[in-house]
Amino acid sequence: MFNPILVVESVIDGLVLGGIYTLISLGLSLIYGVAGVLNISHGDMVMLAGLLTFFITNAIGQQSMGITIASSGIILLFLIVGILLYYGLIKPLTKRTKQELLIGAILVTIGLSFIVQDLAATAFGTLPRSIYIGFEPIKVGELVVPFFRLVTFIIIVITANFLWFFLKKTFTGMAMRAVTNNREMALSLGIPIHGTSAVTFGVGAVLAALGGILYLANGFPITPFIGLSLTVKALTVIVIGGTGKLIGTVIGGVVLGIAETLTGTVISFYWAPAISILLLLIVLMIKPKGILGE
Amino acid sequence: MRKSGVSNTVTTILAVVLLLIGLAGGYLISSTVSMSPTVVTKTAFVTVGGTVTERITITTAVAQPTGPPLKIGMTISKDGLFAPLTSGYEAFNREWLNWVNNVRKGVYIRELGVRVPVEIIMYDDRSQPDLAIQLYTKLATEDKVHILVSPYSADIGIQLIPTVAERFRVPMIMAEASTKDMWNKGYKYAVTSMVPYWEDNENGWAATYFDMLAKTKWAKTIAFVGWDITWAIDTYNSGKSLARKAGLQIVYDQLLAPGTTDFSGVIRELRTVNPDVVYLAMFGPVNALFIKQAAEAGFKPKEFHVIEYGAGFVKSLGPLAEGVTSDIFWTPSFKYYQSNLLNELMTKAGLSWVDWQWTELRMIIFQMIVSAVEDAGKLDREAINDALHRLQIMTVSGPLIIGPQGYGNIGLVTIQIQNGRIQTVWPQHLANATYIHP
Repeated sequence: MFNPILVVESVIDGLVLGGIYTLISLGLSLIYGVAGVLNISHGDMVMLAGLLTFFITNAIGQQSMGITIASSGIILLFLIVGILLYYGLIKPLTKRTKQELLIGAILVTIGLSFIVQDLAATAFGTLPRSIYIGFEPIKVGELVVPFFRLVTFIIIVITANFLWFFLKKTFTGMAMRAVTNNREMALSLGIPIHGTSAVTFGVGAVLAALGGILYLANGFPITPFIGLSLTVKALTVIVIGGTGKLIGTVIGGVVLGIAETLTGTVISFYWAPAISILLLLIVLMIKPKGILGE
Repeated sequence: MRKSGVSNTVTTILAVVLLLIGLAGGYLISSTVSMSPTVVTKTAFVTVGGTVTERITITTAVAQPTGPPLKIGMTISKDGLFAPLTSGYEAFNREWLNWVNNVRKGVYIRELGVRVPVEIIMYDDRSQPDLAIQLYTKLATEDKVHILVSPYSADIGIQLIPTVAERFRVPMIMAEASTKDMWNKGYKYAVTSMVPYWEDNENGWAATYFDMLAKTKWAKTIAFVGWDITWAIDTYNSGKSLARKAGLQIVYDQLLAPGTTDFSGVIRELRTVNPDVVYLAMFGPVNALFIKQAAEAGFKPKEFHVIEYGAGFVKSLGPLAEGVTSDIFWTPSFKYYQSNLLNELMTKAGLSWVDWQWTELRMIIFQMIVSAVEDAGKLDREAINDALHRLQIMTVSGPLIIGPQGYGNIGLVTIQIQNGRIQTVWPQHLANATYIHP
């Protein structure tokens, strides 16, 4: 039976879920745009951040306080990890042609993904980890929204605006956009390509980490083996939204999130996980370059 | 030019090395031969169908002065979906082997007139059905084991019976793996201790739970949520049938695609129908996840019943676990044959029975193997298979009789989490605590 309250709640859920997908995908999209690297281990960054948050939060004992403390440390850590990842593994590949760089980086990041997965399984165990924050949900009439979903939505909006400001108004952000638009021209203008790419990797890792923390905090399970499926989900979002424009990634994430939750409510929960593939096929048939692709 | 060539070579080597290290993964860390005073564990790496996986052989350090060993073959999952549920069996196997070889002094083989030691060969199937089939084929043909023990999951087990057990005529004891189609096709080499729990018989899955609800009469409505996998569907369907018999009204039922972990939509719908009991037919960690998400969404039914609670359920849920009910084949309050031994072996293996819910099935399997092999009187697959099919023994969970179709009669009891502890609450003659209900 059609219940408008359930539909509204589904849309709110979809916005939050889509927002998390967007954060994760923005990191991947930025790295691909600036450094020309398809980072297959991106989802493993999400996983690693989630697992670290889980253990730090548990060690602290108090869930909401734990997440706040863990987040600040983990975000800084992942900024450094992202930069080191670029200098350690990707920079040596940049002497190759663009196509060789793409394929080489895929191979290297697949290997990295396996290593991170197995190390995480060894260090943290293979149990799915999730947390329960324990805030009472917000109730407006019959409408019920879990409290942390609302917090997540606010964090995502702030992060997206901060990223927009960073890319539009700071020198580093402008350099990143310049490298994305025309690498050779950016080089001739004296923009440090490697430095810019390294910072992009750092920012990408931070976005992945934030996605992982929010994913965990919203009650989703994290296991050491979840990384690849998250990378695939992020790639789906990028393709649906259209490569080349970050706003496309935002739209792709929101469309996918709402599609998943509404499919469950309106059609069947059984088919909700499959909707991303169907959506991808539809977009590829109607607009092969994505919703905002050029 | 030369510099570029060197750079290319270095980059290629780096990529290949990283990929290889990644594929071998954490296995390299644990690739060792470890020896305790009584048990030797040999670990090696084998490539099966292009996949590198681990082979673990457990034998007794002090050589038995007798005949060839009785070889038991199995896989466990150290990676993937089933890893949280089965990886601990390696340690349990080691402790049981230590007991059977060093305390019991092996298994008596009448034909040889001596007791022979037991050897266990395990592979890591990484929760992959295709890999499991290849590994069981290897166990049957190359390792030449005398008896096979199935891996976790009916979905993998059902594929192994025709492709390995029947094909190579090796007796296979189905562990945490049983479903109707295993037993109605005339297979000759598969047995299980478990009752046909997909039927709504009196000791099937959750049968004692629904008997308890019928007797206590507090619950009027129930909702069913499950994953679309063989075992969960079996318990989901039999549960629905038992619920109707117990006089409960089913107000909601929802099967979900395997792997679903976002339950927010289902929880929203459950809130609108507000059932007294929510019956969750999924793996233990997933059931815990559902209960957490329900709490975050402000949905608190009077009771959750879960078909599995192992793998950190109580610890991960904390106070949310209070009052949750579930099913199990054995609890430490049982006083049947070798119940204390099971407790002791689990403690030595570092496995809490709260987290390793199905270890009792592994113990029953070892009891079945020892009895069947001694009854057969020789290390011969056909003789052992015949003995398994006419088995009537006492186990840690009570008397076991294998029926003509290959399945047994070991059923489940109802437990409830009370003050962070798991208590047996039904049937009353086995209970060590009183069922707490609204």
